[in-house]
Formats: sequence, C-alpha cells, structure tokens
Amino acid sequence: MKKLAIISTLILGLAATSCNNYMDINESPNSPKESDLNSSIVFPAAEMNLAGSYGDYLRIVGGYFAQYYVQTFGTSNYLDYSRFEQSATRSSSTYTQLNSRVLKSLQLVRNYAEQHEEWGDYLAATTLRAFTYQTLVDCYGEVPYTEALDATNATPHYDDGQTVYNGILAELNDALGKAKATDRVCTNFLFPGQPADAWIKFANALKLKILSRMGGSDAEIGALIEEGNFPAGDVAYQGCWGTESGAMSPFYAEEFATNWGSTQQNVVANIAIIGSMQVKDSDGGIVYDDPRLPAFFQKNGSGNYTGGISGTNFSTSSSYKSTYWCRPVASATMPVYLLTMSEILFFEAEYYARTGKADKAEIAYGAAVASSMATAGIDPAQALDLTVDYMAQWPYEQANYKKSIGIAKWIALAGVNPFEGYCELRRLKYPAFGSVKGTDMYNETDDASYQPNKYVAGTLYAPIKCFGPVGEGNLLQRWPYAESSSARNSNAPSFPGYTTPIFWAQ
Amino acid sequence: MKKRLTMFLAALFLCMGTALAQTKVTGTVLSQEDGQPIIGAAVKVDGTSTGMLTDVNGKFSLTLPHGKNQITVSYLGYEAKTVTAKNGMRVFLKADATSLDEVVVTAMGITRQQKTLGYSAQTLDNEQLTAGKLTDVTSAMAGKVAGVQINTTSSDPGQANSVIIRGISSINGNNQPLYVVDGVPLVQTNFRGTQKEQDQFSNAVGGVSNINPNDIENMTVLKGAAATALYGSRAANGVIIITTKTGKKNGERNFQISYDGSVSWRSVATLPKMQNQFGQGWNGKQTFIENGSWGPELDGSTQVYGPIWNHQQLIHKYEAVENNIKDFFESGVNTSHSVSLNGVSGDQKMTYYLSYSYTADNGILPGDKDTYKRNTIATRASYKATDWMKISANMNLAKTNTNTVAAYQGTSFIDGIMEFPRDLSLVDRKHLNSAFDTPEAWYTPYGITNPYWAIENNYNHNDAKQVFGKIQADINPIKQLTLTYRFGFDYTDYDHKLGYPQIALDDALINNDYGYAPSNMNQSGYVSDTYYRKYELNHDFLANFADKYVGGKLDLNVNVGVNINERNRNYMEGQTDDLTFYSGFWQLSNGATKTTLADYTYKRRLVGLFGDVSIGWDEMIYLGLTARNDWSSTLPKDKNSFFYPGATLSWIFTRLIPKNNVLTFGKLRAAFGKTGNDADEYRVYPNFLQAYSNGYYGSDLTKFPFNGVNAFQASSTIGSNSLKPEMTTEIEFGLNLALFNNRINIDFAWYNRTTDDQIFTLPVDPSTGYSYMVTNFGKVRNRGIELLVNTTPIQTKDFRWELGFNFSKNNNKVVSMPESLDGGMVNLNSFSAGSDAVYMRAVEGLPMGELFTYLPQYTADGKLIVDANGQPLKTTEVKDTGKNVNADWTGGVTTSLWYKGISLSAALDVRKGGYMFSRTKNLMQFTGNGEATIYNQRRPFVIPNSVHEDGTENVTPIYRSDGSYQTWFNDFGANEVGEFYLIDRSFVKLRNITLAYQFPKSLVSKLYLSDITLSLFCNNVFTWTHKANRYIDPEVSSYGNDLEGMFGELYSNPACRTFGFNVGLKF
Repeated sequence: MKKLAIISTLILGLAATSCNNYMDINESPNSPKESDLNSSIVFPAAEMNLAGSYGDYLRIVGGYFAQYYVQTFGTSNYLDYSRFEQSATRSSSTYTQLNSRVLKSLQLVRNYAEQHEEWGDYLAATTLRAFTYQTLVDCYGEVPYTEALDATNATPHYDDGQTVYNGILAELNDALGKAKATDRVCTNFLFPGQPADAWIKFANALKLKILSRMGGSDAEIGALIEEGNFPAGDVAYQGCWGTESGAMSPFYAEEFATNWGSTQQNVVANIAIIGSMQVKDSDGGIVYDDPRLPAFFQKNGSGNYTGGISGTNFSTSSSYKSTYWCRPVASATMPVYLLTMSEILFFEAEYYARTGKADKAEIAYGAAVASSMATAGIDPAQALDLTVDYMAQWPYEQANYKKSIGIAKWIALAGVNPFEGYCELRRLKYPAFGSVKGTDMYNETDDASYQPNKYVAGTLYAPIKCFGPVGEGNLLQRWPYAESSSARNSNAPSFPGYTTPIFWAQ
Repeated sequence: MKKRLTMFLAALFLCMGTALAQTKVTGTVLSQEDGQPIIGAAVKVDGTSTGMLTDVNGKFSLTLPHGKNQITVSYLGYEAKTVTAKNGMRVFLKADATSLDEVVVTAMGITRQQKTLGYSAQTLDNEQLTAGKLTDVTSAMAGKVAGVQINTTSSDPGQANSVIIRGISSINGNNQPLYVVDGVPLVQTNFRGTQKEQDQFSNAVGGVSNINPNDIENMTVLKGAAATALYGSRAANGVIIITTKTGKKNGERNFQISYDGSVSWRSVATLPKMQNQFGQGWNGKQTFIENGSWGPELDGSTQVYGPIWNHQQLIHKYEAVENNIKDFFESGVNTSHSVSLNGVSGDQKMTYYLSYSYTADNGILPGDKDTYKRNTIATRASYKATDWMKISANMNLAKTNTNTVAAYQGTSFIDGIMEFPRDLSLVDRKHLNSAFDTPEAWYTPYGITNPYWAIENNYNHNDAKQVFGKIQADINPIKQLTLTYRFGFDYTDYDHKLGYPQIALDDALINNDYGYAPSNMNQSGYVSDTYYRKYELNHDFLANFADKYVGGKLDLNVNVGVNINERNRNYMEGQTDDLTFYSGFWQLSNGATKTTLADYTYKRRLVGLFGDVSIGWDEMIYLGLTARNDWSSTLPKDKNSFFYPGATLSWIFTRLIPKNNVLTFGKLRAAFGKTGNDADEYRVYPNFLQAYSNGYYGSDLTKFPFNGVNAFQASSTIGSNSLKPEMTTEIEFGLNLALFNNRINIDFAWYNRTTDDQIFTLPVDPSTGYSYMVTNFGKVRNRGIELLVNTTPIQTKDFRWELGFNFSKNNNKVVSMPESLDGGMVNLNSFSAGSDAVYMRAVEGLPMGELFTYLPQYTADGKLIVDANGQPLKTTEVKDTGKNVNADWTGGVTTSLWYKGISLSAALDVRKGGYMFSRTKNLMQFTGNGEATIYNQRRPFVIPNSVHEDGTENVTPIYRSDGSYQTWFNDFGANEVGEFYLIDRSFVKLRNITLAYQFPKSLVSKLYLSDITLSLFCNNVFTWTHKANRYIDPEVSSYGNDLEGMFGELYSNPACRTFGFNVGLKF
C-alpha cells in the first residue's frame, strides 16, 4: 500500500517539474512564424484584397451612384443603391477588408522593407497604401489614419480627409525619395518581374490624381506633368486572372460566375450612360454612337442598347423584363483598373484648362478620349478618327472645361472604373442634374410611361423613389461610417449627412 | 417502484439463519404511503444473524430462534421499524423524514448526503429522464430543473440542444455546462454547418448526446461556483454529473435483463400563419414566375403559371391552397430499442453492466433525407480483488449517422416552401419527373427551386463515432482513506460531407421565361469534405479521508487531488467546385477545377491541484472549504497559474427543535465560490493564415494559392500576451424546507454571480488592422432566484398526486466594459440584408443581448415622420430598441398522478419575456404570404398620423399598384422598420404528457418477469406563443447553441410534435 502511495507521489512530482515544457504548446501549428514571413509572401495578399474590394463592391456601388447601372427586372439586391441609398452595414465588410487585410498587410511589408532597406518593396507597399487611403476618404470623407493600424489602440481617432490626403502625399514623396528605378520589387501581380521604375511611374500618376482631386498646388501638378514620368499604359490587375473559382476577376466572379450557388442578375445599364453614349434625336434616330459602348455594355435580347431608370427594377412591368436590359460586358479575366492613361491625360487637360492653356487642354482632352478608346480595345489606327467624331458630339469648351472634362471622363470610366467615375462626378459636378426626373421617364404603374427618349444626353436625373435623406436633384455625397467602425469605435464621429460633400467636393 | 428494485443490493448482510427451536412467522412489508409491497426490504431477527429480504410481493418468512421475537425491518429511504413478530403480520414502513438523506454525487465523483450540501444541487433520476422517450437526455431536463434553460436549435433529427445554467455569463460564446460521466469529462462536440451553409444547423455528434438515456442512473445539476470549483476552469458554467447504471443483484437473481422499446411519430407543430386572399404576383400585379403572393386578389379563375417550356405551361385555379405548406411535411417515425444485462458475480466481487441501444429517427421532411441513427454500446465492470482494492472500467461506443437538410437560401427547401405562392399546390410537384418539377422549368427562377428537388439533390451527411470511458483503481490502505486513480478518455471523430449539385440549364426549350430565365439558377456545384478528430485525456489522482470523531458528532471529510488534462482536435477540410457529374457523386474527384485542402490542429493542456475539506458537527452544521490551482497552456507562460477558493456553510436548524409534524426538515445554506477560466488555444501570439479575399456576397472570391503564388496575411484576430485568467465569483444563499412529513419540499436559492476579466475576442474597428482583439473584458453579472417546490397534495393507499413547481428569475447586466473600448459596445451577433440590419449587442449597464436596429422616427408629439415618398424615415444608424433576448422569468409545472399501477404525468414550461430575431417573420412579409400583409386589404392608404420632417402633413398615399405598398412592408417593416424582425419570445409549452401502466407484480411474476411497463407519451404537445408571434416556435435557433444562438432564427425548419408508445420489460 505504501508503495503505491510513494509511486503516486513520484508521478505527481515528475509532472510538476516537467510542467514548464509540458505547458509550452501555445504557438499555433496552423500559422507560419512571423519570422518566416517576408514581403513576397505578404504583398500578394494585400493586392488581391485590394482588387477584391476595388474591383467588385466599389465598382458595383460606384456604378449605381454614378448612374451607370440600374437594377435589372425581377431582382432587388441593389435597388437601394439605385435610389442613392447607402447604409453603414452595406459597406462594412469592404471597409474591413481594405483596413484589416489590405492596409494591415501593406504595413507588414513596409516594416520588412524598412528593416532590410528594400526600397523597391517599400515604394510598392506605400503606393498601394496611398491608393487605399485615398479610396477610403473618397467613400467616407474621414477615416482613422494617424492612429490607425495600431493594435494597442482599439479606438483610433478619425482624421479629416485633408489630413489623410496630405499624409499619403508625404508618404509617397518619402518612398519615391528612397527608391531607385532599378531596385527590385517583391512578388506582385501589378508589375510582375519589373523593377521599381514601374512603381515610380505609378506613384507619380497617383500623386497627380491625389493632387488634382484635392485641389493641390498647380506648381506641384505642373512639375509632375513637366517631368512626365508616368506609366506608359493602364495600371491594372490584368493577365493574372483565371477561369477557375478563386481565380476569376472579382466583379465577374460575384455577378456572373456560378460558383456561389445560384447567381442572380443585378447590374444592368442605366439610361443615363446609354443615352449619353448612344445619343438619339427626338425621333429616335441615332445621332452619335460611341464606339466604346460595345466594350462597356452588352446589347439586350433584341440586339439594342437600352437603359433602365434609377430607383426601379421594373418589377410591375409586363414588357420590360430582364432580357430587355443590357448587362455590363464582363469576363473571368477582365482587368481591375487602378489608374488609366486616359485619366492621367484628363488631369493634364484640367491642369492646362485651369492655368489658361486652352490649346494644350484641348489636345490633352482629345488624347484622353483616344486613350480611353484604346483601353476599350479600339484599334489605335481608327481611334483618331473616332475621337474626332466624339469631339464633334462633345466638343471641348474652355469656358466650361469642368463640364466638358466631367462628361467625357464620366463616359470614359463607365466600363472601366465606375467608382472613380462616381468620385470625379462629385468633384467636377458634371454631368449635372437636368430638369428631367426619373418619374418623368417611367412611373412604375404603366408600361407606356417608359419614355427613355426624354433623357437628355450628358445629364443626371433624380431616381424614382429617391432615398429621402438625399433628396431629388442631389448626389449621394458620402457614406455613413462603416458599421464595423461606428459600432465598435467610440471615437467615430457622428455622421454629417448624406449630402455633405467630402472635402475635395465642397 | 424502480428505486426499490434498484435498492435490492442494499442489504448485503443477507444470510439464512439456521436455528434450532423455533417459531415460523410469515408476513408482508408494505409502504405506509401507498400500501404497495416493498420488495427487497431487509427483515432481521434482533440479536441474531438471521434475516432475509422480502420477495416481489413484499413477503417474508422467518424461523425465529428460541427466545427471540423482535424483528427489525429496514429499507433504504424508509425509517427502520422494530416490531414483535407475529404470524401473518403486516409491517408498514414510513418514508424517511426527508429525501434529503439521499446521497448525491458531487464534484470529482465525491458522494455526499444531500442534506449536508451548502449549495444547490438538483438530481433527476432515470424515471424523470426517460419518461418522454427523448433521444437526447438534455431535452429531458427541459422544464424540470430550476434555473436551467434548454433551447433546441430545431426539432430536426439529431440536433443538439443548448443548456444554459443561471443565465449567460460568458460573452465569449461558451455558456454550456461541463458534462461529467462517471467522473470523466465528456467533450461536447456539436457540428455546425460550414460557412457556405451559414450555420443553419447544429448536429450533436459527440458528448452527452451519445449517452443512451436508459443507461443513466441519475443526473445531478450543480449550479453554483462553490459546487463546481473542484472541476476547475471548465466548470464556470455549471456541471452536469451523470452517473450510469452498474451491475446489481436483482432479488434472488444475480442478474437482470431489461428491454425498453418505443415507437413515436412526429408531425409539424408550428407553421407561420398565412393569408389566403391574394395570389402569385409582385407589386400588386399578376406574374407567372414570382415566388410570392403580392398579386391580385384570388378569384377562382383558371390561370397559367410558370414559364412556357416546350410549348407547354402549367395551369391552376387561382384560389388559395390553404394547406399547401402543411401538406408538404410528412410524419416522421422514431424507433428505439435498448437492451441491457447487468448483474454481479456469484461471490459478489464483480459487477458488470452491458447495454446496447439503437435509435432511428426520420424527420418530417419527405423521404429519408433528414434522418438520425445512433447505435450505442456501454459496458462497465468492477472487480473488488481484495477488501482494499477495487478496479473498475467503463467503455462506451457510439456511432451516429445524420442526414441533415440545412435551411438556407440558395436552392434550400425552406425558402422554396415559405416563398411558395398561396394559390399553387406544392404536393402536386413531388414527382420530379417533369421539367416543371426541376429547375429547368420551375415556376420561379429567383434563387429558389422545387423543395422536393432541393431535398433530393442536396447532400449533407455526417458519420460520427465516439469512444469514451475510464479505468479506475480505488485503494483503501486504511479504512478511512481512499486513494483513487482514474484515467478518463473521450475520442470523437466525424466525417462530414456536403454536396451541392450542379445546375447547368441552357433555356433551349424555354419558349417564354416571362422576364427572367431559368438559367439564372445555374450553379457550378461543389463537394466539401471534413475529417475531424478530437480527443480528451484526463488523469485524476484523488485521496479521500473520511472519519468521525467525538462519538460520531464530528464528521471530517478531506479530499486532495491532481488533474492532468489534455485536449486535442484536428481536422482536414477539402473542397472542390465545378462538378463533372452534376449530382449524387459526392467525392472530391468530382471537381472539374481545383481542389483545396486545409488542415488544422489545436491542442491544450491543463494541470490542476485541488483540495476540499468538509467538517460536520452533530449532523447540524457543515462547513466546506475548497481550493484549486490551475496551470493552463493557453495563457501567457508567466501568467498561466491561477488560484481560486470556495467555502460553503449549511445549518440544519431543525436539529434544534423537537420533531414535529409541521416542519420536518429545515436547512439554511450559504456558499461562496470562485472559478477561474483560461483562454482558447493560440490567443497569445500573432497568427497568420493563407490569404483570401472576399466579395460582397461571396467569400473566398480570391483564394491563394493564386496564379502560382501563395500568400499569407495576418489573422483577423490579434492575440494578447498580457491575458489574465477570467474569474467567476458567486455567492449563494439557500433554504431547504420539508413540511408536513415531506408532503411539501421547498428549495430556494438566491445567487449573485459576477464574471470578471472575461477573455473575449472583442470586435474592434478594422482600422486597427484587426477585426478582433483578444482581451480581458469587463464584468458581467447574473443575479437571480430559483425556487423549487415539490408537493404531494394527496397520498392514500392507492392514489398519489404529486405537483411540482419551479421558478427562476435571472437578471443579467453588463456591469463594465473594457477601458480600451471607451464606453463602446460589442456586437454579439447580427443579421443584415440590403439596408436592413439587426444587432445583438453587449452594452454597459444593459443586459447582455440588447437588440439594435434601424428605427422609425417620431415627432415630439408622437407623429411618425415620413420622407418625400410618404414612407417612414429611418434612423441613419441602428438604435437601441430597448428589447433584449433575456427572459424576465421562466417557470415550470410538473405533475404526476398514480393510481395503482397507472401513472399520468405532465410537464408545463413557461417563459415570460425577451425578444428574438425572426427571419421567418420577415420572409412572410417579403413574400406577401404572411397574414399581416393584408393590412387595409392592400388598398391605398396614407400612413395615419404621419408628418414630413418640416412638420407638414403627409398626404402621399401608399399604393399596391406602384409597388410602394410592398415597399412599405419590405423596406419599412409596416412602420416598425427594423423592429419588424423582432418577436416576443414568451411561451407556455405543454412539453410532455405520459400515461404509463405498470402491470401488477402477480401477473408479471407469472410471466417470469419482474416488471412490465407500457407507456404512451406526447412531447411538445402544444405551445402557446405571444399574440404577436404567429410565425415560429420561439425556442428554435439558427445560430448554434450558445450566446449567439440566443439571437434568433434564420429560416429555421418548423418545430415538431411527437407522440408514441413505449414498452419496458425487465427479466
């Protein structure tokens, strides 16, 4: 008996002494060690999350808010956007993705790069970081920036948009100052295999976009244009997409592919963009047919271009069913555009116009349209003639350059980057609201009331059942702070209202 | 009666006297309460070793030695009686003064007399647990234990239950008690649906659900921290101790064979109330392809519906098919059989128990797609090798197979049913042999399809196995000391397979799709596999010292022990998309594109050192002191040790007053206890995971490896290296009273439980870089009362009526939140669709689970503010509704009537107050199928008493014809905005009625049996819900079975009523 007691005591004693090792099992075998990670392992994660948000959700809502898109017959998934309604909940997961997966990953890369003085990586990460922060400000107006990405501070303060814009410009300048054109850059999908030169050019173009948006100094803008060290082509995620699930271009994967259970159709063309790209006279005869239209929207079931009215899904109609409407052109391998050549040229045109150089402005305006046509896949040999046709319909007016550029840019971005179209619409304030309202073109009780010919090319119109707090004749200027922030962060400011412009649109 | 049977063993001193000279006497021992014979009572001739046990008729026959005529008759649970022997005598035994003399099993398998306990412990015996013939023992507890709330995820076969004792303390998710079977903790494994299924079910695949209720001797619920402290950190939510049956001597036989078999049927009990006035259509107009009833008024005319396929179209009468949903469901059948053999060896040194059970359950859905099968084998044996050593071993095997029909959007059946227009007949579409019965030409292409087709073609199958048991040695080096070593193990695995069929329609034969082509239903299909393994090992070393001093007045009981615990789970998940074979071939090789695999391992260890001292004086005052120290692997290395003490005091004050017939027994008790708790695994160091990106609806829109590149990103949760253990502190005061010789028993408890420094994964602003931060979270308090009253209003020789009440009221409050939150709030669960959202939150100063949503706005004088369209103006942010998920109080009434061999019992369960989220309710108005959607007969109206923001009167009507009537329901919840999703959770539920007949012993013994019992039962007999709830059984949940599950339901499958009969035989 005593023996047993002694043995038990011994076992207990042994257990106690080896306790420390026995207990040291709390490092997750499911995670790589932090020390095993490097920029090439983390950077692609940031890129694909940025492409996932920018190329899908932001593309969709931008499309509705800029009157490129309406909701198709029969479904109602995005009908609220079509009425210019945005809620704190709707954008929440995108806000989460941009912060915790894009910016967090970029922070890791910047840290690795700084430690190892890999300035090419540092510039690449800083450029995408600046791009992401600009996007966040363009949605919400204010976001946590100076106190952000710090796990010890659960309630970071929001910074106003101007502060964020200034901050990211300074960051870009800092990173540009460190990187040399020949520096190598970690694994990435934007400029695979290319040295830092490609990123320097992209960073310069991004600076132009940021400065132009915020109304930055013309001296700075002029110097950038003078230097002209911009990308030679569109900056986009292209060539990396595949046709398998998990590899498809995000907008296509979500709205067109059949991987997520049954796919409902939502997004179809708005009368505003169709009516501005295929301009008709009062008899319905086509006055101007934009060559980019087939690249942006599919024809409807009858082989025509038709546009729905914001705010309705024609659910009470017996004639205007889903085959009556035009879906956007999309494919599994479609690019996710971050910044196009055409936009750079539009910013140049704007700079020249602003500084009174009308000739140069008009040339840049034409070049921007031509470049947009190249992006739409039009043979460069024809692009010049087609641009001349375009400028006959939409001539450049120095006296009203914001209108000319605003409308031209809105059209150019329709099938390329609807979110940027929505931003520039708010800043340039063109196209502007015309006198025709959505209810003038369709009243939901009577199919005969659908009269798309009432639409005036190059204008916006108030959606049917326009979201009350936005009100007819107004754009949705900003989004309620994302629920994942406002419900969790006591320092989230109170919402200034749907029609309070973001600082650059005031 | 069962108790008497099981107590045969009590009199081990049996020996047959042989004497010389001698009077022979015969007699009968009867119960004073009901006049029934007592079987197995010990009859002993005083001053001799002569004695015997009474037979099945309570009869005994003794030969009295010369000069001896006093006999003592005793039986456990009765007061012993010494009488003068007479031939043909009848001895009536009176039940013990109090059932509180009953022995209960408390922490670490330590047995105590109920009356000495300083805390609340409620025991249910086998009879109470098996009356309703429920497959799962936790279901059988419902309504019977004060302060315990049982919720079911649904009444689908094989679904797991939620058991919450004394309210929600842990905000972090796990509020389920620890189950301990014969001293061994069981891993409670519930399988919840994958992300793709949106967690629409919760199958029980291990743990307590695999215990055959017939194997259980009794179950004790330990509620307070003082009661559970010895179990350590895992017992913070209470402990349910299950003691299984062991081998016993059965009268004259050394063994007993029992059979128990039942058949029951289930049928749908609760369906939403539907309107029968309007038919298929949308926004007031008739459509042929809409899934809803927003069309014109039903007029009995003949109408076509659905697409034109191959120049054919379906026709029907445009009139209500009132039972189109009810008729879809069939009655499910449950059969169960249980056989057991138990006994002791001839020399009484060895006991054995062997049982086998089989349960097959088929739910209410057509065909055999919702089924649950369970086979269990239980063996136990003990051997007393010498008088100082006993070896025992238990081994249990369980195997379950579950087919589940998960409810969710997609091609789910529940959507297919609930959105079905009121004028179409569903049962006519069950044959699946025509294009009109499949997605190819189903009447609607809007994301749902024929529910019969969905059930037939979606696959969700789970095979699980569990092995658990123990090996134990008990050694008594000296009489007062018992040394125990116990090795306990529990291994569970499951293989879960999920298959969604491919739908690849080309619309080639569709002549007219009426606006939206069936090919919009196309999906590429997928197969997903999970292989899951989980084990838990426990080593317990326990020393118990018990002795009495000062002439038996001082009662000392000391326990010291060590527990070493290891828990491990690992699983591998695989998924493949784009199926090659559209349906039925559910292997990963079916994927035409890529197959993804991922594996995970989680392991934790815990070492605990504990001690417990109980001192009693004169069977009047008992003082208990407990302490435990744990070392946990899941806490930061330098802070992984934590200590927590407890103390209890009980005072049997009736020892001070003379015996009387009014106050039979009285005890006051007080308890203070602490329980520490550790974190989940891997919550200290930063973690990284393989990168992915989400879309708005689709998760993993982009998956790595991507285009030949792999990538990692930081986990959305950041750990903390400064975690402290969380600590639950509980104070409890209680009173036990027995009045009028036990005719009234009262057990009252007041408790105050606070949980400090909860280890919580706090949702944080993602701009911190993370969505969740592991942190020690403020303080949550549960304070409440529990009252249990058991009465026997009538007791005569042949008739007995028992009536029991239980009542509990728990007040929950979030006392403080983490400082880092700066007065913020925390989302516990949420639902959002479009611009609608409902949140369940923890907010400082409010009860846990406050519900927030977008609300209508009113002027100061109470007028509803509307927008330019004449629709209510919603708040920009979600607001506090003032409603929360907690009940105001819960209660239950149980009653039983016995007349001779007949017994009738019933259990009624009441829950008052609390709200829940109901997607079913929302769906009823989205589709226009719900009764509420015929407001104002769907005629135009201006919202009464409404104004614009500027104060001008609202004159804009809401019309059916332009869709604004429907919008008023869909987007503005008929003026209630987001509150339209909430329903009052109150109910009164007649949970069970059982009528049983126990055949007379005389008849039974002629059949060479010892017991025959037949019973008829009905469960979930009727539920009365709050008048505003015309939709669902408020007990269901779609979000698993804990705090999250309190939120409510997202298209839950309907609740069921079961009725059946049972045969119990004992040989």
